[in-house]
Amino acid sequence: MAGSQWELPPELCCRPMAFVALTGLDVVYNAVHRAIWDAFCANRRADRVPISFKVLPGDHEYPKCRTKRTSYEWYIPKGILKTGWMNKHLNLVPALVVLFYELDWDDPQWKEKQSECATKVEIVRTSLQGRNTKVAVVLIQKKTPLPPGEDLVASERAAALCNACDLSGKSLFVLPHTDHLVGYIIRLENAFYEHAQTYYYTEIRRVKSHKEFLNKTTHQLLFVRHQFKIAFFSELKQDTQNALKYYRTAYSLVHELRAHETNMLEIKTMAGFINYKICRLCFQHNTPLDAIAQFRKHIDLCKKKIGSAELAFEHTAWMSKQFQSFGELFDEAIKLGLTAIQTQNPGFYYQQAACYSQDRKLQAQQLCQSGVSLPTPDPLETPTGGLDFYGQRPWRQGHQSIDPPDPEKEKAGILALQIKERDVPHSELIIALLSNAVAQFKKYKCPRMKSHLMVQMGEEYYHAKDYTKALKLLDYVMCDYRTERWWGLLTAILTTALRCAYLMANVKDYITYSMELLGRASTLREEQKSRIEKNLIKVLMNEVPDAEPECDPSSSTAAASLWNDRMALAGSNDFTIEVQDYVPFIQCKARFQSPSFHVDQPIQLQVFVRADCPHPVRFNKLAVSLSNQEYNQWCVVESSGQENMCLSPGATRCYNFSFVAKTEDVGKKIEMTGIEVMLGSETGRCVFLSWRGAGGDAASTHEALQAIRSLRHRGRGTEGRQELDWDSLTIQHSTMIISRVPKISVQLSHQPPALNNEMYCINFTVQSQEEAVARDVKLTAGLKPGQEANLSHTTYVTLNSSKVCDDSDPALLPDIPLGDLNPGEKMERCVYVKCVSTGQRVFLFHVAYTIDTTVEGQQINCKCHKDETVNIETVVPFEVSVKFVSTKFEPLDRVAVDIPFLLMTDLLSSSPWPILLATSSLQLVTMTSKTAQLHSQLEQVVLQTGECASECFCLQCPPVANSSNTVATGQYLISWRSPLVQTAVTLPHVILETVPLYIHAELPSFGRVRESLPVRYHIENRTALVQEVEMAVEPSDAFMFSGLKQVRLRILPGSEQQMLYNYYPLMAGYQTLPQLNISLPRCPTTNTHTLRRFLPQRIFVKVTHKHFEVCIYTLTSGSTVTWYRISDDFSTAVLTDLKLVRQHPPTLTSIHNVWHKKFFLSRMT
Amino acid sequence: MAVCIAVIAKENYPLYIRSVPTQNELKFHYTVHTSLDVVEEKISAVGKAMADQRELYLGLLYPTEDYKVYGYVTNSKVKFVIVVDSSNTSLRDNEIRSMFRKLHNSFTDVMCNPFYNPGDPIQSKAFDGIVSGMMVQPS
Amino acid sequence: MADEALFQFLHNEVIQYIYKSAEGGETENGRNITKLENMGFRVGQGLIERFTKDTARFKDELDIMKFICKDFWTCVFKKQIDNLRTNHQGIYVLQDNKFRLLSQLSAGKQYLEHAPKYLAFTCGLVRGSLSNLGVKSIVTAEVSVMPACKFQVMIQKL
Repeated sequence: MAGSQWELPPELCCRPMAFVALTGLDVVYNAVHRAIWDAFCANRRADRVPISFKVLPGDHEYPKCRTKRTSYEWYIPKGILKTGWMNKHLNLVPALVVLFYELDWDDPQWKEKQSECATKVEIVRTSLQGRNTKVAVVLIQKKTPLPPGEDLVASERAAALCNACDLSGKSLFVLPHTDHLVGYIIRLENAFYEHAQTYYYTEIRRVKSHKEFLNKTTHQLLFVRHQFKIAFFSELKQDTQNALKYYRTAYSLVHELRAHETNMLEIKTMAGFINYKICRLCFQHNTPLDAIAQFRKHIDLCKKKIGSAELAFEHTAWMSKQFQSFGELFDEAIKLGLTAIQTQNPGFYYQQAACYSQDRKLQAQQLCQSGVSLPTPDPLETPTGGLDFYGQRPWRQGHQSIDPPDPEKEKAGILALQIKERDVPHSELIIALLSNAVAQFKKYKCPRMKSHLMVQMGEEYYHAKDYTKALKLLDYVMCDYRTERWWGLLTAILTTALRCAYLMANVKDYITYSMELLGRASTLREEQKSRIEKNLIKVLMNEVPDAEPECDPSSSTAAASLWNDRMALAGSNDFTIEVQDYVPFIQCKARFQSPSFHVDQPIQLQVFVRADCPHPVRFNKLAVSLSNQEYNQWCVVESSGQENMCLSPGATRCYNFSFVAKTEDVGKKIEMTGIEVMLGSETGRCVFLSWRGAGGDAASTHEALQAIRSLRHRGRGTEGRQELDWDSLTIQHSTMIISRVPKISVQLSHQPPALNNEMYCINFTVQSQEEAVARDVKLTAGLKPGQEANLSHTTYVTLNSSKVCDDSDPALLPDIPLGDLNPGEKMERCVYVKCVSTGQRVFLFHVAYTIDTTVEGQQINCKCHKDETVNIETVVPFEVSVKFVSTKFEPLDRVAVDIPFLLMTDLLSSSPWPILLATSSLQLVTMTSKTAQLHSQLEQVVLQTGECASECFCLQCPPVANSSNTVATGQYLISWRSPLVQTAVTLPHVILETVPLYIHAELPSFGRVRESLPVRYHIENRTALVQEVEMAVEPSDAFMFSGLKQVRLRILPGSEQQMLYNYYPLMAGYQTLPQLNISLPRCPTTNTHTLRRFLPQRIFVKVTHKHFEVCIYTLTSGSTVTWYRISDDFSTAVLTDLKLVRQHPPTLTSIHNVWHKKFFLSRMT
Repeated sequence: MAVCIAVIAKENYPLYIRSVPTQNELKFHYTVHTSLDVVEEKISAVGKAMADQRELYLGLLYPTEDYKVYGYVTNSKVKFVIVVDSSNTSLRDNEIRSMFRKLHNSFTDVMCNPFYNPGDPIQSKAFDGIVSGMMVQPS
Repeated sequence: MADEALFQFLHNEVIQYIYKSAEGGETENGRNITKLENMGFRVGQGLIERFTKDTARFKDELDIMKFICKDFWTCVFKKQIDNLRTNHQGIYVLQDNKFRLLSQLSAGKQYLEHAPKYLAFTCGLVRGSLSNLGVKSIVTAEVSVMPACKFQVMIQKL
């Protein structure tokens, strides 16, 4: 009974279902009966009516019905609810007994069988004497029945059978065992269910009818009992709403009972039962808040009903059970679809249940003294082996008055209960409840609650002396408290863990926990730390530590012997403890003095160690592991008997190490991979505290952060005292080994910008400042890699100045050997660069060499290098623009076949310094030059920035065979600079046109006032037809003329006509020539206008023949202005300029080159 | 009147915990620590909450058999937790609120103290005094 | 009114002091800016604790930024931020068209090169405030025409 005393009876916890007994079925030997029974049992899902079936023999004895009480006047109830009652109505007293009987309507022995059936019914009826249980008969038939009403025999015999058995027609059923058995069975059981409903309805009425006989003074217990019964019957009837109502009434009635020490248990037990039923129904009705409210009310009402102080543990056990059951109900409801929340989930109830179980354990420990033996006879034994009423004492069952009937018996009973309680496995119960709670809190996102419960579990295991499990749990949650920095809680957990480790004599754990309890995160008082440290020292010396306080003496004794065994055990006395994730009492931080070291410098690193424990600690070795293990040998310090390996509390010690890096490690990173501090000694125990990386522990990051923030406040003070502030020490866990600083100077001289396509010279000078010979000097020069991809295709580098670079030259010249360089020696080289495209480029000059040097007496051979980069912009040297004009200098948008025109080029210098043009030429494709010019006009011309050099070519285009009307012109080649760079400019295409008639005039370049000016017009017919031409000369104010004023003439295909006119100028200056009107009647597309463009419009008329004239033309091209002074007869022209003055033999074309903007005339004397 | 008052840092470690000396201090530490589960949940749900549910006072965090635990979070995510004895039914919500207001005011003063480094444990005498005034007086 | 002037004068003097006291040493401009920024950080930490004492809990990051632009700015600089923009990926640009601490300097380009030191404290102020509200950030300022000023807040996700 002990442990399970508080378990709720299963008949209370189940869902009550109508009980129907089936008799007359032989399920063992009769296959048909078996099949019928199986059909009743199988697939009882929610859609089937809730009935609990049981097969009973036909002569089964049902519980006897007590004779009905006629009066309650003298009746004094002995308790609230009999222990057997619920079971009786669930499993023993059926609502309906069904008699199965094999009988077909046309059975030959009908008479006999009918009476046999009647007898069987009678037997059942007799056994149920006094009960309202219904009886029904099911005839198992082989034949399929006919539709109702058709089988006259059947209805007649059915009526007869009913009569014989004293059955109503509704209670007789037929079950043909044919194909549709399950269907028949379902119809049958639905009918049974109706009968059962009626039965429970009458039962409820029956119980209700008692009420009028009861009085409030003596029958209070009966009020509760009756309400409970009505509620229970309602449940059997599946009327849960009413059931809930009656249970609630029952619940309030149970609390109205006068409670005293003797009946307290009974009241609480019943209250617990009814509460359970109410909560269960509330959850079932999906009103969880009602369930919770009821439960809270229940707890508030019962919390203080402790009962006998000597049995206080009984109350807490009961409370625990209340919470546990509610938690289970809640949990079950969740499984059926209820949603719980973080602050209202079953976990809280399990937790509280565990909490009461813990109280129970404490009370049991206080109240149940050991060593007392069970009194005889056992007062807990009852003659029936159980109780008559729920919640009563075995030694005084049915006793309802305030005082116990026999004080002696009472005492013995209490003692017996206490003795029983001693054997309860409290810890097991507590752990089970906690573990339930943990599962819930995990589900409802309460990690901290979960950790807290796990701590409690761990502590409970500790109390249960299962230290391994205790440590496992405690160890698991410790880190949560550590990362959240709840030091108080961590210390408490560590303290328990230390006790476990001590009691198990687990050396490593003992050291680990001690180490943290001594550390700065521990909130223990100094004297406790002092005790722990002394113990730790003992353990390090392979001695037995003192027992932890609060361990019970017997366990401590056992532990001491375990420790002694450990001590005797040789070997396995080395322990390595990874302390990084703890907050150990020795702190360690290390740093390289610099994030990088040159290979010719010794690498320096510092290790800071500090102890936080109350007494000084000795250690024997400090070793740093580095990523390259070859260096480890330089970073070890071992004690050799001196004082220096001792850490005073709170003081920081610094150990400096330095070593020379290997030359092959240049460019590599050296990392600290770990630091080890060895405590103890080889003779005793060795403990290696091991830090990963460069030290630090679980708390140091946060401390460092806080230190940075508060630095401002402390700042000044600590600086003065030169004392290290531990928290602001920063870790530098790696360093780069970089190459030796080169002692050479590299200079680059050049004159930017570079011009496109030119051979740009960069002067490179290297001078050694080394004290030894720099051997094997190599230069890598050219375009710095990693720039825009197409730059490498448009850049060429060479050392050869004699020829222009081409595609075969690389963009970067690697490893040009320069030989050795003596101290102080200087070396020069010219590097030529040709950039084919414009833009910014970075050029790299990388000088590498090797040199021997010594570091700390060690001879090393170092590679040094120095990089120099230079950013050079490439610009275009000049821009070339080209235009086509007619011989009259009018811009042409198309060119006429076989008619000369002019190509004019302008070369505008954009170079920041003068450009020497070597020569220029045209490379024509289809066109031909009209002038036999071989000599470039630009030869040896030097152009300043912004200056322009122009040329003019007279060209003519022959007819082109192909149909397209555009024609390629060719290229304009300019050679410049030295060494000669040739720039080719592709000339634009021109559009060709053919003209039917070409007219051009032949006239002097100027006229003189009142002197004859002969003009000959040539008119060519370029068509294959005879052309008729009408010509007329319009009169002009500036000229008189002689010749045909108006003429009509015919020109044969391909031939030419000439017309001669003698013009006689009347005015000086530029004069418009008389207009010529030409029309081609046969060719209307060609009019005067289109033809007139070939003719000059104006002519310059001079005043007199004899005078010397000077005209100054202003040539404007772009922004440059050049002055030309030209003599009157065009025999010589002098070109004057501020920068260059040189002879320029003018030709007709070159003079035409001049753009007449304005001019003036002056007479010279 | 409170049986335990705690101030918890943004990162959830304690800046200040004070409990009545008559009872197990550790138990209060655990109570405060576990209440952070609820606080965290309430803070993380703030985005979805309506404006009226976004006040600094978080209300009753969770009831245990013995204590009621109330929470409050400043905009700087510093949490105040007040633990009240369950039997103390006379205490109204408004009184709890005003206790938190007082705490917050005093905490703000602590934050503005040039000698206080945010994130360090609170050792202010003034703050201590305010807290003492709200604690159950040992009788 | 007086407190406003007081703050400006004090701010100016702090800058003067920091720069004067550093003149002797080799400390460069960057260090002084950092010093001012750190001062602002600590002040922001405390200030925001006071300012947010009576406000509801912030809904999200944007809610916090709005508070900085409105309430916080008004309390410190007697006006609101004129424009707040964000890329919704942790960058906020706060534009003040007439920033208080620059408004006493002559407008235009004359003292443009000195602007950074008059903004460092405020950058720290914003960073400290945000940090205390649990938002780690980098705050920078930009001036093109005085006294308009843009503060850029870059949130650092954890």
